[in-house]
Amino acid sequence: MNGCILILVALGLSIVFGLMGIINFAHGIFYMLGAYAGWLTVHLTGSFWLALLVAPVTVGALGVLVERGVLTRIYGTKNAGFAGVLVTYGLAIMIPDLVRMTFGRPGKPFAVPAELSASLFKLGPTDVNAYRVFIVGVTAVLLPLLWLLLNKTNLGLVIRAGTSDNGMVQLLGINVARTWTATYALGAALAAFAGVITAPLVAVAPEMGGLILIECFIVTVVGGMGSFLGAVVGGLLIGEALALTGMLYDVLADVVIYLAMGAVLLLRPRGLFGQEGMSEE
Amino acid sequence: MGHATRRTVLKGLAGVGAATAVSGFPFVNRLALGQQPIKLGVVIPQTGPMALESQEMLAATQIAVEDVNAEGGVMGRKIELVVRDSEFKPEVAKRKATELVEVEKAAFLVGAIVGFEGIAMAEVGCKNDVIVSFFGQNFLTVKGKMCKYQFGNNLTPYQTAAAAARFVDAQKLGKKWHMLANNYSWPQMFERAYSLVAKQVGAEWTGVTWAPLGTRDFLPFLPKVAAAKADVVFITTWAADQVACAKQVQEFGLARQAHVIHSITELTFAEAAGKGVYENFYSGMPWYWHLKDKYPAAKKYYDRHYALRKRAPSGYTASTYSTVRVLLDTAREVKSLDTDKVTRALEGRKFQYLKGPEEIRACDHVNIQEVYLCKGKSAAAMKDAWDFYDIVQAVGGDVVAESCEGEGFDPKKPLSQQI
Repeated sequence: MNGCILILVALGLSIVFGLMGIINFAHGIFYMLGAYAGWLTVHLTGSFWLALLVAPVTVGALGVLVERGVLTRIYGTKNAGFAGVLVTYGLAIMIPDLVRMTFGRPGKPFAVPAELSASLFKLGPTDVNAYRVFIVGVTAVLLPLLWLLLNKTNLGLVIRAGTSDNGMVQLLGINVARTWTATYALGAALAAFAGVITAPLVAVAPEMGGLILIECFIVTVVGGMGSFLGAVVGGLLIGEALALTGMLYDVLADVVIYLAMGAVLLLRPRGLFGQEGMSEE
Repeated sequence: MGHATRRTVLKGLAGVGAATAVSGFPFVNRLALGQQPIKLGVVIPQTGPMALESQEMLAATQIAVEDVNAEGGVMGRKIELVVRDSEFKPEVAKRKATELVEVEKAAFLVGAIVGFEGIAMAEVGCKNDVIVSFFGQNFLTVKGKMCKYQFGNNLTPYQTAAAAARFVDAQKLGKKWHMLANNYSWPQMFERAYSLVAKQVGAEWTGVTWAPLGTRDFLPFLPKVAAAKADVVFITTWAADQVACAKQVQEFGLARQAHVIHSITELTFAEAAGKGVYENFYSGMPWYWHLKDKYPAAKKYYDRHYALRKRAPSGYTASTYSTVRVLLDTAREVKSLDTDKVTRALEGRKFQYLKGPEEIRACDHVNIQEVYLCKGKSAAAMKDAWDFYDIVQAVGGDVVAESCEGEGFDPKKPLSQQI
């Protein structure tokens, strides 16, 4: 499960960095807001399935507001990369406090939908719940769709071209601003989707975005900044590393992902599937 | 009556002057001080992940101060709360505590929910000879790590663990024990306590499964817990980790194989997990709001807290109330704000506020008190939004506190005579 969640959140982080060159510290808050939007939808309508749609759409729209209202002001400025870090870091501090003020108690109850709560089969000593199979299944469906979007559509072509050489794409007269907004919104929506599908298994709390962000940065470093395949493979590697150490040698579970990141940085600084020079830009 | 000469007037003035100089203007001083409130400095994380717990504890502090003021304050002076935000950062907690002592001239310091805030506050209190009393777990009760002015009315990790272990023994839940915990210093203190009590009661300690702090997915850790084939699994996690762990332990079905006991919990965690998630789990708490049916003072506190916060008070708020009350009541009793005098009076003090009798053990300042072991209810059995548990047993007294010798202190001497 962890690997699937990491892939979905890290994909957005990686694509936004690849295209826009922004290390997006605000990305974790979209994951958290997705969980809250999901909780609110379930609370108001009782439908988990509606929450799966509402959360990414509303948080994606918020992503548009953040990109248009905040980030556009720093594009093209001196030290835009550093300003992006500061601005998104500020949002990552401010928005959880706004959520605390709005939603009150730290934690909202979010149950596994009744139709997915049964145990499907046993894997060794572990009961495998239908909900976990659902998470894996929905990720497996979503990833090819995203791949098609990025590889077989005009939007995807511009995103990939922009990731390689943003300046050249602008010179060709393509409306890059709109692509950036769409990319940022897509990243936010993906994180929100991950948030809402994780919510039934964890605590829906304002600080949940900060915890996952660190792991997703490690995923993108391991997989390669800006790489679709890198985010997928990195997410699976880090997720599995966490799970296997938990099962086999729990005292190392704290450090294993940092060891993995250190090893990749030493042996292949651009990450497993990263473009050369990308992380130095 | 003869005329007063210039000489007699001067003599009279000189006499009055000398008398007032010697007495220090007692009448004027008393009048001025009577109007001047005594400042109680509070350092608590009003922003950050513990912001809402902080609001709950501030409400409890406010109620305690109102009660003390209603009974005449301390030495006829009202108590004034001066609150500072620690921002959940140790360096800020230290700076704000220093400001409260040096600028605001706070008579006492209270607050801190988590360990690093407590350490920062203790450093300031000990350096400036000001009493510091913690709201969170009292985990500094080890020789070399505390000064004589440190107090904490909440439970120590040892007490919490020992109470859960004694409960297991008394209820005959099984003799093979295991712990699932987050891997950092606070749960590590529980490991020591559980393994020691296991030896004392003849139980088998099968060790600990450690999960990193901030674990989202506990499932990979649960097969190891299951493989221990323990009768009892103690879970020592906190906040978001505890909620995620509780949900996934239910999903895994661990409760069908073993008795699951949260070493300590707060009402807010069961709320965040949702109705029925804590069903059949046992949990330790320093106080639970059902005690209002047993103790009239608890009922009064419940009503006032509910009026302020529109929710049932948690166990930690009740500890906060008694932390503030015992400090101020002691100062009133000894009619002094002198740190040493109040410290000596606190050592060995017996009191009762919202639960059974409590006593500040003189040799280490640990509050000897009851711990309430509660059983989680099903969603259908809950009578209102906060009715997550029923109290099963109160476990308390010296038997669940680590001995003073064990902490490196002389049990026959008050702490203030040892440090």
